[in-house]
Amino acid sequence: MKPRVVNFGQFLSFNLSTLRNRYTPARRKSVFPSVDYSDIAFQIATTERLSELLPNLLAQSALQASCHSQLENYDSLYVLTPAPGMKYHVHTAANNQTDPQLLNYFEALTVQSRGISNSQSTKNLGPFHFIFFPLQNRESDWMAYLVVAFKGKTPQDNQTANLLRPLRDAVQRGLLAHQNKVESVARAISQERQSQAADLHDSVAQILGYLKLRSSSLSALCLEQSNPTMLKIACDIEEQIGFAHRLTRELISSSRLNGIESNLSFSIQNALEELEQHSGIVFELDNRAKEDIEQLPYPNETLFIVREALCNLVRHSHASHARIIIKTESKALTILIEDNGIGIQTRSKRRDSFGLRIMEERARRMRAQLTVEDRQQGGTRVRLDIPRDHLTI
Amino acid sequence: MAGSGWPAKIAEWLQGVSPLKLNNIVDSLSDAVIVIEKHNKLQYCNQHWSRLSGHSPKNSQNQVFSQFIHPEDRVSWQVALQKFHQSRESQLLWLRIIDTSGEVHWCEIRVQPIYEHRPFPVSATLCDITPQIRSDQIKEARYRSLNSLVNRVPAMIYRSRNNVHWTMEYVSDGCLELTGYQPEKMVNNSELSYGSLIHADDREGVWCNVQKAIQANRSFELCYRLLHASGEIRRVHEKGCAIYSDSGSILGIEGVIFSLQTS
Repeated sequence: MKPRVVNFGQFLSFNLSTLRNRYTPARRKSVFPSVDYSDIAFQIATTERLSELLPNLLAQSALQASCHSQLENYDSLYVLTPAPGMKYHVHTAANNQTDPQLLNYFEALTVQSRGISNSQSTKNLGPFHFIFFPLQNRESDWMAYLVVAFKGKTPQDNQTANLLRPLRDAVQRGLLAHQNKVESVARAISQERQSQAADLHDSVAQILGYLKLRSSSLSALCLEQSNPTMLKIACDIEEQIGFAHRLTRELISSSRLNGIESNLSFSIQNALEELEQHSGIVFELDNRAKEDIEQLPYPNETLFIVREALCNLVRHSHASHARIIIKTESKALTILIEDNGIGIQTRSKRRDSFGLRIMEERARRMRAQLTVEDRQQGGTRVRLDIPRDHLTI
Repeated sequence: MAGSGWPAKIAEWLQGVSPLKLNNIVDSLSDAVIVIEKHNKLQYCNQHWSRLSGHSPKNSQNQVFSQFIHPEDRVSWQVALQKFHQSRESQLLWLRIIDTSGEVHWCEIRVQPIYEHRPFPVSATLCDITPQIRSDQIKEARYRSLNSLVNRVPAMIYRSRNNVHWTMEYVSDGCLELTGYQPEKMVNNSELSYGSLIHADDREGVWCNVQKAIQANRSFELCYRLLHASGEIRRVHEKGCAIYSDSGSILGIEGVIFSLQTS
């Protein structure tokens, strides 16, 4: 029998194409063919302003038309992303006139709301029915949701899930990449700040420390030589150098401290526990505004003011009891730091004490009001009023 | 009876006691007594509730009880109430009540069933334990302050038994820097004795000098060599004294040991 001659090139190409056909999954037929899912993921991943982008993405006419045509009783699409204070930011299509009942419902949801979980779930609210599709991050420690609302009867869960899976995957991919980007920027900023702090410490702070000593000697010399004109100038120089030195130290510590660990309440609690170890003062934290405080737009500034006030309390108050009260009032979120010590008036005000000036400066920057006063019952009260219109929504 | 604020059923339940007398008795108590209805609403409260919260019984009626509780304690309250409904057993809880002036009162609250087979109403007593909490906080702060002071001193502060091993009852955190060993390894000779760390040639001298001093009822001051965990020999300086019982017997030795070389 004549052996069959097989062209090797043909053989190879035949086998490769067979393999490709066998092992490459058939390109999934796009359920909403006119929607560009890669573009959705890309735009979310690269945006600087998620809350401006998502409404536009959800409003895409191709997406809305596909939803209306293929999902029976479809009403609207939402993306819920975690926000401070265990709440969710509700993003919906820019042109969507959301029913106020729906909006209230979403805004009232908290991260620990019963019934919204890490698996696909269905909820009802009046004539509306929703399906929550969880969008997980790397560590699955926070949860965003893609929510589809139906007015009237909900189509079968599986059918809707299949139709919306590519959209859910695209939003999830985009949010993951966006989160990675935000985290790397934060890391880079933190590293840069730490390196600046080290530079400041090794250069300017050292020189200012030396100048502080020398200017102090100069003042002493002027005093010794009974030269009042020179003494006045020397004292002024000494004071300004002292202020510059303190400001530099403050800058260094601001850059070195990472500030907020996970939330402001926790950071204040940590600062308190740290100081407790270095004093015999009884500290009490009375936090009545746990949700509101997490929405402050200047958490680092707030934490530094609280830290400074607590440090002053430990250093100068001679108190045996201190308490921090955080409460929400009609127009402001108020942080009170009170002690039963000797009070502010009776303390001799040192010329080289700049802590209060720096606290005031920080408060001004965040348009908050800082008051330091004696308490009627004795001791000092530091009051920081942060206007409520500052709370991020 | 119902007109005086008590649920009619409770009045029936307390048959034989005149309503006036009953109200007077409950109002005379130095604990707050409240009755909570469905939806966590206050149905009744006695006079002491007013002294505690600043709200009159009339103004408190039909108010949701949680609104008087500190926001941080509301969840614990709900959990305790759920447990109570599940087990029907009295629940005890510490929580904070905020009065009308904004002051916080620590209270021990005990919830009890009124009817055996009905979830509501329930009665609760609130005892103001703020002075006790304050006193505990002061004690804790004193202990914490002293403890952190002792442990931050760059030396080893100790209390030991008067034996050749110098068995340690207490050593401060400075032990690690001085000897290279964790304090817990030294306490009660759990892993090693302080005596074994003293250089063999100095052990007898240390023992004799300490015994001489305590026999003479005076403090002692010594310099000797110590074997550090790293293998180094370090010179140390020790100051100490004996602690005596009323009868004059030696209970132990207390003192402080510094390293004479910088680490």
